[in-house]
Amino acid sequence: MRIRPRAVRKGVMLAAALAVSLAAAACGSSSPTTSSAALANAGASGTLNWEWELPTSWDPVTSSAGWDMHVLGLVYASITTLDPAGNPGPGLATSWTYAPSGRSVTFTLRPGLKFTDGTPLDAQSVKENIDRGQTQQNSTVASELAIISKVVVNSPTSFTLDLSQVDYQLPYLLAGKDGMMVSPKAFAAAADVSSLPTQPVGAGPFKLTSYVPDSHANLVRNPGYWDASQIHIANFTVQDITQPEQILAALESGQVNVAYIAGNQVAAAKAAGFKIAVIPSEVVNELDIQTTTAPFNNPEVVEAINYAIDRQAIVQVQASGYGSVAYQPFPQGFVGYSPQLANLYPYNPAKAKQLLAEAGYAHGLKITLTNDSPADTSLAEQIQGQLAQVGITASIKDIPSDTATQFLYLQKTIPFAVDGTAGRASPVEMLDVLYSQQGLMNVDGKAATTSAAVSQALSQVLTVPLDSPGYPSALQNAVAMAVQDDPIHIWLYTNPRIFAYSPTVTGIPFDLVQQRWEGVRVAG
Amino acid sequence: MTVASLTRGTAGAAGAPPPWLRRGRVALARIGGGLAVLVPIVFLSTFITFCLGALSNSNPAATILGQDAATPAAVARLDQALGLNHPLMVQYWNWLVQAVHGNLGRSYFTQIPVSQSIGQRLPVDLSIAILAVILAVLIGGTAGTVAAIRRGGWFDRGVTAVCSAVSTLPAFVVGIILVVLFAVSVHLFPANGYVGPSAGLGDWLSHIFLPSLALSLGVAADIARQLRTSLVQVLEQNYIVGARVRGLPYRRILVRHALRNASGPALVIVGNDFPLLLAGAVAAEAVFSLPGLGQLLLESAQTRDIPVVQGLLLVISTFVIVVNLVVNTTLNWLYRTGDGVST
Repeated sequence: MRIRPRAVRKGVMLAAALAVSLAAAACGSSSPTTSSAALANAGASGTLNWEWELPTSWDPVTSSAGWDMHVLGLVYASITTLDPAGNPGPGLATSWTYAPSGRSVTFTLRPGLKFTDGTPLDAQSVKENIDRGQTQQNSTVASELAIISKVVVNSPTSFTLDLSQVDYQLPYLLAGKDGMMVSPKAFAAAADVSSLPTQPVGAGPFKLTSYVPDSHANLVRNPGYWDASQIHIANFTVQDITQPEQILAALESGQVNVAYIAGNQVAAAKAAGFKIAVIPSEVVNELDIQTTTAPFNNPEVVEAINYAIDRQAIVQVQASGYGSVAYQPFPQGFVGYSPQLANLYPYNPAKAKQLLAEAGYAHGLKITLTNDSPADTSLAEQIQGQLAQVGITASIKDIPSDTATQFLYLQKTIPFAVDGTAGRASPVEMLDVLYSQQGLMNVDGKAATTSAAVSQALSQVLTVPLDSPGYPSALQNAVAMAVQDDPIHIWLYTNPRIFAYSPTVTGIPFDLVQQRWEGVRVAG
Repeated sequence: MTVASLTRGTAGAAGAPPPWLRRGRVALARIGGGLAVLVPIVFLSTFITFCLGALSNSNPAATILGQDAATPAAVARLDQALGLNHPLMVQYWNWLVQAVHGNLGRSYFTQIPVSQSIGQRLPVDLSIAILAVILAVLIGGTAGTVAAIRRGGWFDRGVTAVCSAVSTLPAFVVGIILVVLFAVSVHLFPANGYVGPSAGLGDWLSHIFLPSLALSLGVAADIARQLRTSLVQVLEQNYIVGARVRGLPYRRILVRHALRNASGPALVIVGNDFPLLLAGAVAAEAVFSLPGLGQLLLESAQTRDIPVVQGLLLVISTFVIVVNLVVNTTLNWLYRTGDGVST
């Protein structure tokens, strides 16, 4: 899941933003009709207008952006749910029990669950959903679901998943898109499947009532949601505003009351009287580095680059200070965060120069830094500047973003690139993608092998139950091992999810992985 | 002289078809000619786009599957689902056959049918572009005519100065200025967003007025300048002087004789600029947050979402050709002679 941080654009459109902001403020906005839902919304009121990117597809099986999970979570409930710190807890299922072998897990569903089309959500529906995710030809979740070898329906409220190997991470996996349940009636026929991208039928906190791609989606509260007592918002809209400059305008006009903004917009939003929520997230920027290709096959060169980068300066410039310096894929506060790596490569240009000299590059080194995203151009240039300070001349090579997956991850022909990633539901899945032999983001060349110690640490953590006291240390050990033994990712900084919101909105939860809306109220 | 022309000549002498019939035949022939141009152009442009997509090194299946799932096996499976495993020619042929049957396929990325995406967005840009043409003709036509009649006067000089200034301003700058003037200062129109005519005619018009005006001013300036120049020339022609000497009312001379003959070049501008207005709607979409074709084209081109690009190309090229056809037919009607056929 490539990260989609709020783009920061400077300069040219500032005047436009101001003008549009003032104008929009004067003109107000329309909100969806409430009549149909009014009766069902006992106690719920208000409309939350959220500025956020609309999904690539409303079907979790064909959605092609990890980012989509935030919006899909409005209409779909998952089998498990992640708590604010990212740990799995009850969702559609109240509990789960692993067999002693760790090769199968039995989930117990809540009784009487229903999809918004009125059909029951039971163990049979779960089976049909997992089958579809595994077999539908254009499924984007098939590889993640491949761990499940068989779904056994024990009763309407109980099902068992047989696994192809011991894997205690499954409750994490089923909290994300893989565990989002779609009404089987909505995908019974091929024609139905093709309407799912625009007409989702789930059992989530809201129900989609209308959708205009690239514009907005209107939703109403679903009184049948298992946790509906915590949903206090009667109506919900998602509005996709493409120009970052217009977002504050939309906020000031009342067109939206919660907006995702960039760090450099925080001051303006505060000045306009809005509240700010800086929510830690697993979205992290990094550099991919192929340690099998010269000159990066010399460990001293990789180390030198790590010491040459002033991460704090990067956070200041790229995110206006709203972010944290990172030396590992997980943010502080998450179970996988390894304190051992807390200050792994403090900025030290002198040491970087010394390491380069020892590596035989005392008189300079020329490398190429590939960038596939216009949003990262400024970051690439800042890195280029910092590397120049220690005698590394980095030329930036821009490539089209639609070729990045092909060359960076599949063909693995790019030695040094600006990259980033967002959180996965499962931390081991994230480590697997980043560091394992078959991991796509393991950019270390096709022939390279993940070190035995790292492979062992990764497999070992899969075999540790999540409720075992040894789980945090096993996970943190795997993180520390991967980051230090296979330095193929130079971690830079984590991006928080920054919301500017109207004072009428209260109770926005700080969810590390997926933004949720339980407990949120809109006054007036 | 051929036998055929002799025969036609004889038939004409025996009972020439009425002018409306001859005009109809000419119009039909032109429409036929237009279609004959349309088909190869659409064929060529869609084929070139297909080839460019293939040459671009992009791999839609890999992009869709992304960091987590783009394993070679998964990419191969998705390639098969999207029909990308066939040779380029076969892919193009499959697309063409479906397109001829009215099926433009689905977006690789959103799975939404292309016709549905276009159908949802086309009314936005069309509303803006058509209103922009109407506004451009009204504003530019009036300004150009008055400037020509009062040539050399303060109004004429003023029009020339304003036209020069407006021509240098891109539509998005004009859009911002209009928002400040009419949405911020006077609160007459909404600053952004779009509602369809089903939400109420007034509401619809109020939402499209500012974007249309932003787009129309450049065209209006072109029309005004062109019309002024040609009208000044026509008004100096002997037949106009003759008509005035004979005492024909000035308004009749202006409308029936001078404007009819002077409006051709201005009309050509409308024909040439209409596709540009559709393109300009992209800028308007950005400034006014409108869900139009421009944003769709931009996104689909960036991600190499070939079915969407192809569908848009089909619609846009058809539009350009149809508009040119309409303009040419109108020009022929304007310049028709007594026997109903243009000179």
